[in-house]
Amino acid sequence: MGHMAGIIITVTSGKGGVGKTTTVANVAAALALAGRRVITVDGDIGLRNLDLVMGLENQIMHDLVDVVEGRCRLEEALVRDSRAKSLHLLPAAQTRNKSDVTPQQMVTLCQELCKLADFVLIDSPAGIEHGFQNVVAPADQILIVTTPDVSALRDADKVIYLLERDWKRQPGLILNRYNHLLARAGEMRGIDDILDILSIDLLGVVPDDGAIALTTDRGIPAVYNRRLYASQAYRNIAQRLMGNNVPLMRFDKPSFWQRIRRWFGG
Amino acid sequence: MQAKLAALLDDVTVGNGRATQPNNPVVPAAGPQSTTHAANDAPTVPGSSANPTAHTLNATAEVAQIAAQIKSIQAAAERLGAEPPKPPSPPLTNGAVTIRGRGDGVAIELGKGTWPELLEQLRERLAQAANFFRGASVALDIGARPLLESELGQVRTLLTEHEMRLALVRTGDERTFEAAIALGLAAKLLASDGSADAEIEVADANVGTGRYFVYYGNLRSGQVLERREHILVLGDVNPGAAVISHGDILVWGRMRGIAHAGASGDRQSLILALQLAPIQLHIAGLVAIEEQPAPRSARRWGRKAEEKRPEVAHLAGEQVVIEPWDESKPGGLAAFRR
Repeated sequence: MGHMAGIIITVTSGKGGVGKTTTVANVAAALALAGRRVITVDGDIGLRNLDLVMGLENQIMHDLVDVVEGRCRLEEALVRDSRAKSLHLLPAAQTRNKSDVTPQQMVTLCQELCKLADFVLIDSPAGIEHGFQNVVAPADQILIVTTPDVSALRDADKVIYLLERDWKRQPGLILNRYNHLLARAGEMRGIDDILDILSIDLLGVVPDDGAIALTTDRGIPAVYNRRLYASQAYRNIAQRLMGNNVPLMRFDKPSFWQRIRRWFGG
Repeated sequence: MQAKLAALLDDVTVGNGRATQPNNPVVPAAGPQSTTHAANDAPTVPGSSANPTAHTLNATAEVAQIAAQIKSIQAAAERLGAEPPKPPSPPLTNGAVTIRGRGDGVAIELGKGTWPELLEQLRERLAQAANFFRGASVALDIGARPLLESELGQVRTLLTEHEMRLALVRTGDERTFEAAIALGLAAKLLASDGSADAEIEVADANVGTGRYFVYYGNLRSGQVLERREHILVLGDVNPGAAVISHGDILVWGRMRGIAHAGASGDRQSLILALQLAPIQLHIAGLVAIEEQPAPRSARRWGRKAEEKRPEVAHLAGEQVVIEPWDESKPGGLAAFRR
């Protein structure tokens, strides 16, 4: 594994607040738990917060713009995660803005990171402007995060269109905050309805769970709490990114034995 | 010009353009790559106009090409002596059946005689000259003779057997006219004196003559496809996408965005889709906005429940009317265009 160059995965959405940063933090942690070397890159320069969600704010010494402008070496800017040893963060600058980095600089930077990791996960800013170009340019693979809301879907559809048109990319989909009870009652569109519109490959479905908001706020990604459905969902996504075929989670009522297993953290 | 059109046709028949985009086999991207970066967001940019995966079909060119082929084959046949020498341009007359090659198709005239006789004569004539007219579109002139649907159907079957297409029926009889329409044929009702109107070109009524712009793939939110031609979308039109045509809009898929047919004012324009659940429909500037505000968004986003029947939108007076396809008038697209 170690001798091969890693792959660069950009997580984006178009709309803000659908859970990009949470997804990056959790999927990265899940990949690291599975033994992969992972580097997360905060592409939201000027509005950094991946470090907060990963609980690493207090360890930041340098940032991405420092590396690009040559004020420090790449290794110096990387922050090692406190829980998973094979996980590192390259934080964004808080005091600069997106036009301080060009897409070409991002490509060069990420190619360097590829030599150090199996997976480079890039968190995107909201929107489809300059920052979007920066994070899409280096990507080998792109993940679209959306919630089932009409506005999030509309923006996701637009981003898919832009990716197909300008970047010749077919992204994968992560459906976030999916409420299977509402979908089953016919109140909210279901997975099939969403795929029917977006017509791209589904990489995972993360159930709606208030506990995720709490874990995010505390800087401990939900993936570490194995009692949560969402934890399993993120680990499944990680497995799929590693090329393993994992069936989609079922959201019906779990069987007695499944409940017992989950009780013991399985 | 001829060569250029032939090249265009070759292009259409050889492939659907996906082969030119190996990176993106599933849904073709639209528009030029580098030049449109700055205009990502501008809704009026016709992002698909330069789409390499879409083709303009030109039926007129096809007909012209075939006519040229017919002429060269005729000449060759004469040189070989395979056929008794005939003057090249005058009509191939055999009693009551007259077959005339034109620049853009074939005109067949049925004169006096009983129907079985005429049919038999036509069969003979076509058998002799089949290769000359293969692929041609036919304008059939049947004079004032009243024909039933089944009888017109016989002619059509006969022509189809010889790989010809019945594109137009010219008749002086009103019931025959109705019968032709019911068969989905383009038809022209002539005045009883049979004078001036009688001289219409095959191209005028040939349904396939209009230029079609074919778009392969889905149109996504923010994408605007604007063409002067009729538009055929082989895919879905998603919410937030728009299709604008000076002619008809046909969607072999779901129409969930905005459609504007007859954008330059053609009130005969139609919008057809396998599933019509649009945000807005415009025909020649008149708007139909979907009613039922409550279930709208869910429905638009692909709720399975309701009708999935093909529907057609057309103008009736000042109103855009949407009907299920199978309840609309028989005769297909052509029935709306008489």
